[in-house]
Amino acid sequence: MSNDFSIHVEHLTRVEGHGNIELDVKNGKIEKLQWNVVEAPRFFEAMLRGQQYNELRPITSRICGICSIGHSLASLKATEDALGIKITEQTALLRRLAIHGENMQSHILHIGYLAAPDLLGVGSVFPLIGSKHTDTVLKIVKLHRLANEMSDLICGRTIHPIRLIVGGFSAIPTEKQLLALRKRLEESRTATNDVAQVILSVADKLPDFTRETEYIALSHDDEYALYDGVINSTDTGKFQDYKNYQSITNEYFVSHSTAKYAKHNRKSYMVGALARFNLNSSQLHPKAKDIAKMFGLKPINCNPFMNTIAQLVEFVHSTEDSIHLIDKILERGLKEEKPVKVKVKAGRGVGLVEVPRGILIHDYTLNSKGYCTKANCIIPTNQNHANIQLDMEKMVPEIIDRPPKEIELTLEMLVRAYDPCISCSTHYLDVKFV
Amino acid sequence: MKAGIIGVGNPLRRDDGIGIVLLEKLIEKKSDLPEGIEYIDGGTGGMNLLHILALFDVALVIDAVKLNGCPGESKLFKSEDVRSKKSSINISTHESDVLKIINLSKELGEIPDQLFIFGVQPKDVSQGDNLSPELQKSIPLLTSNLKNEITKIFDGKRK
Repeated sequence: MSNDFSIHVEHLTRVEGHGNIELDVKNGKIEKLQWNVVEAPRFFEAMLRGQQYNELRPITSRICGICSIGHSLASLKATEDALGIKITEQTALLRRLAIHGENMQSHILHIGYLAAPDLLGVGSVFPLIGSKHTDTVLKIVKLHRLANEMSDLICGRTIHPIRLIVGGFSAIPTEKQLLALRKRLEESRTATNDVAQVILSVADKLPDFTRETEYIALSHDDEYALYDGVINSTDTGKFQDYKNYQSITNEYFVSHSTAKYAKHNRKSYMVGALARFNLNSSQLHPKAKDIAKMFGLKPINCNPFMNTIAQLVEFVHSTEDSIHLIDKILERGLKEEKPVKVKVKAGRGVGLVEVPRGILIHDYTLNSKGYCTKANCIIPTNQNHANIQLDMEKMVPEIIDRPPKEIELTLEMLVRAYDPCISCSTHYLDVKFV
Repeated sequence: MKAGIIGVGNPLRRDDGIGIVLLEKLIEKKSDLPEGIEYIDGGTGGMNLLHILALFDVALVIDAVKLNGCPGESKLFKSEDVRSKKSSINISTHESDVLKIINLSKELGEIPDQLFIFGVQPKDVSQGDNLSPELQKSIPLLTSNLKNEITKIFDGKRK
């Protein structure tokens, strides 16, 4: 093959937002290799300044149409931290259920619609219809629908929740609705297992690539951390001083990207399902552990392509833990609770949650009237950009003798494995066609 | 029988949002229309449109469609009457071809028994939140055409 070639993937498909991959090879040597984020900035942090404490949640929800529940929860936790509000146990349980709903929604969307086509050798989910995989697509669609309806039930809407408010919930589901959801979650197990079997049958298409890196996720003593926990790193261990999170994320600018990059103990780190798995896998539900075992996924796994498998593992965990949470909520007895009363005061609060793509941090400073004077949002995809770049730099020399088309597809698959949410990480919206 | 009217489009892309604008007009005039219809803002569609379609036995999708006509011109058709001209087979989380979603719904056996599309020819789909003057002017006529069609569709007079 030729020693000179270029790969330019403009607006990589099957990811959220717009990013480009650029590779120039001359005389068999890499001259340029870049993961470029080309979205325009969105200025959400500036929009928050001057807004009252109860407006911060509805505004930040709009950062993302996929992680709107996660942004809402990070926002509420930051606001409640600033105002010194302690939420009730029931609110904490329902919020955990909400975050499972979003995790399931987002993960099945990525596994089924965005990642699986690469493994099945097609350009999108559409050509799979009418093939031997029609039944699998139908199962994926139904699992996605269940997760959507679960989010709708707990949060009042599939995306951009309306029931999640400062200090609690504006409305909660009924016991009957929770029991119906529980039944549907139980019934979904068969479909999930069938989808897992199909992914397993093509798992050999996941490139065999590893690069040691630092993995960062929240960890919690009593549970597989999603809603709550302390920052934990595979390199440096737990970091209790959550308000000083900047000493972990260390965001910085690079000239070719509109998104910030982040680094901690090494030149890059990874967040997301694989990072959570690598740090907290012992706390997964046994059924989720079975899925990990089925795919030979063990901590610490340094193959970024396995992030999709870690998402599948988490999908099962979220299904099972949701059933457990519903039981717990109903055992305690579902109560109509008024949101905790707010006493407005000045202060700074930081909220950390694990959203589908990794740690999400909101940091607000409020004045004595409860208006936001400063805001900072650290998005998971930002924290992954540097890791994607360094993965590419290790991977391309390993596969440089392959045909350019194959190199291109492998690079695309690498970026997709991170399930990047590019619009969130830069902050824009580009939509639709006629 | 579950009946739904689904507006699709992006109001931040001017005339692309006509489906949503007309949906809102219909909601205002709900009392003049047959009872028991659910009105849904389908936004920019995407895979979520698939879940919405699965809810109904009879549905009408309102969207901006390139009809090769004058701006504001409208046409009622069924999905089987047309074929997508878009070459992309990819989807992202933000966009996908409405006709491909309808086709997927059909293949999955979830499509409404009766599915109509009310298409409106856009003029300007650049970024911005105002309709073009031509479409703005057509709203009363489009709304009245829609009302006639809706009455026929949901009374079972149009097959």
